[in-house]
Amino acid sequence: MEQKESTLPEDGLHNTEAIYDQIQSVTDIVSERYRLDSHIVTVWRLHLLLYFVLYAVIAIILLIISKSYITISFGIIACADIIFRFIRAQFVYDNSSFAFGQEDIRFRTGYIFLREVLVPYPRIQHIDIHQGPIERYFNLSSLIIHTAGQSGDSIKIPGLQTEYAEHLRTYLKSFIKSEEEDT
Amino acid sequence: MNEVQGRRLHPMTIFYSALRIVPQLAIGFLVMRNFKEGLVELIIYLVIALLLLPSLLIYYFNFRFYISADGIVIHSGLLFKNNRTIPIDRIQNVDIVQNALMRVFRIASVKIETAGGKSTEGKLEYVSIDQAHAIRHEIESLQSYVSSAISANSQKFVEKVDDTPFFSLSNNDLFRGGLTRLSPIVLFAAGLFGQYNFVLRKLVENNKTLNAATEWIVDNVWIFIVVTLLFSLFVSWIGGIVLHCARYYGFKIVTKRRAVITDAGLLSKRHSIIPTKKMQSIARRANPIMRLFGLEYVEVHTAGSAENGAKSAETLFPVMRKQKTAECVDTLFALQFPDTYISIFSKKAYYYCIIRDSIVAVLPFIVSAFLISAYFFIPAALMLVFIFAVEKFRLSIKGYSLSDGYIFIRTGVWTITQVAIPYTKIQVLTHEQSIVERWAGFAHLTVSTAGGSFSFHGSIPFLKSELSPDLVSFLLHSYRLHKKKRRLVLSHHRSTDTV
Repeated sequence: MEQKESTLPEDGLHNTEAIYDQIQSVTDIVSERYRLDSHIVTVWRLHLLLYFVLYAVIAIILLIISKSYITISFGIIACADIIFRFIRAQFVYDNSSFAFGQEDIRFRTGYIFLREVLVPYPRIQHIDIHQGPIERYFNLSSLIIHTAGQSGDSIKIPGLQTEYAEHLRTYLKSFIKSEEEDT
Repeated sequence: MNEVQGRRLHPMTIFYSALRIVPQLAIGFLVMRNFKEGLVELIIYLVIALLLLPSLLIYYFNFRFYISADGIVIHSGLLFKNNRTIPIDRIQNVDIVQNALMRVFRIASVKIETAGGKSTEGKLEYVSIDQAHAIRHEIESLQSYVSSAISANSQKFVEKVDDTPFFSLSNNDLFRGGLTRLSPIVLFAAGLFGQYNFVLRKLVENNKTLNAATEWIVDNVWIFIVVTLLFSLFVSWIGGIVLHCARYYGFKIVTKRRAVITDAGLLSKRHSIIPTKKMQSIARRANPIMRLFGLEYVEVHTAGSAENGAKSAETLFPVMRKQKTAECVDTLFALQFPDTYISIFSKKAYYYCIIRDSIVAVLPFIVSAFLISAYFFIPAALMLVFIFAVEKFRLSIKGYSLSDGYIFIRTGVWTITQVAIPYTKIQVLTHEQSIVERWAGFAHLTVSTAGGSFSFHGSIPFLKSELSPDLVSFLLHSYRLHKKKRRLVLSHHRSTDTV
């Protein structure tokens, strides 16, 4: 196959001109990107305590039922995992932001895999607010936006001030159409 | 519509359900007997078996259903009473399923599906075949009644029961399709191969009881494996033809104002209604054998999921000539697939793929070559060549195209799929970049619809990262633009309505 550089409008289109004009006319209007609450990093790091307990239990069980070198290698891997997660929290926070486009809400997150999910407002099916015990201490909640697609396609925005999350929910709710939307 | 009494299922239900349990009982009995020759287990088993029969009676006598303009109400259960109401306007599908045994008893099961949920929401098992069709018709007329009450406009439409098929499959096409259907073969062969491998290992373990024949097998393992593979390929090929012919025998499509109705089956008949509202995307697919003879088949992906959650694709047109399917899709949806796609192929992407695959597939072989034996270099080299060839092919196939109402994506290695996603059906756009992709300047865009597990068809990898935000905003813009105009309408039937 000839190596064709992936230029969008040049070739392979039916009515190239019209679409290219359209693409030109649509500029990505995102006025502002919003950051998460900085306490979320602490929350994520405190969640690691749970991992620590889990790994400790497994290590004790391993110590009882198997050889010591297996336990040691498991311990090394577990520690590495916890340290990795501890460091990663900061990077994930740095990369996370959400924004409101003209007709969509978009959320970007990730460290190694940077991932941005865009949901058009009419596609929102329902909205959850979720709050864990550690998050409650910091008065944070996460906003979960569901669509009709697979469960993996929904957006979860962590680290919002609870009042702000509720405000956001009522704001987004106004976009959900009351009539039956054809999927 | 005043039904105080409610309706019951067909009395044959008890007998048929009992018959259905018999094989399970028999298998259980055999397992039990093999397991232990104790009498106690046998008695327990018989008690369970005897308890099952009254449960069938209870199920039958406590099952009532009502159909009215409000919805379908199903009462069931004795101890745990279950009342389920399905509003009429929420019903997406009414399927009538009938297998060979059911046809003997002249009964059918009616499956009422809504958009949500993984399982079928309303199951009427079993009603007589005439009643099944009556129920379906009743629901349809209620649906048009309800919707006409909402919009005065559509009151003018009188649902014509027009049963002349839009399309019916010729026997010639049916058989030709069976010849090229290879998809289950690989699985079947692999299964058989695993089976023989297992038998071989057992033979080797029980070295002492080997006789001359099995000795020969162990000596000539490779010949044995090749022969069994070829044999299983042949058997499953024949099986594929038979299955395909049985499944799509007498396939025909009837179009209605809001739905496409497919009808097929030799032994077990399947009659399913696909509402246009529920359709998400349309795919033309072909495996290498079909491509060789210029054949392909068309699938339509639907929202929500039918039974088991796995099946969210319905075959719209079984294997036929390419020109014919293109023609059919064009007349049905006014949709033309593009001839050329914008390729995403670039040298950078090619090398990226090779390196990524090598780390997964070749590196373990090389490591074991150093650690265990130098012979592992052979599979490593073979794998590398394979990767070079496959990735080149894969990347040259992958491509996308934009038209007035649709985004087209071509993908696949074995089965090449051309999927058409209407802008209006876009649910979520996902824009992904890994750390390496970011460095190389690539982005990965996924266009998801509500069409369940088939959403992976909508992924476009290796877009230039400066281009992908433009594409995203273009898609979003087109989504809003086309939202008001309905896409995926049945242009064929619309024209007959206005005449």
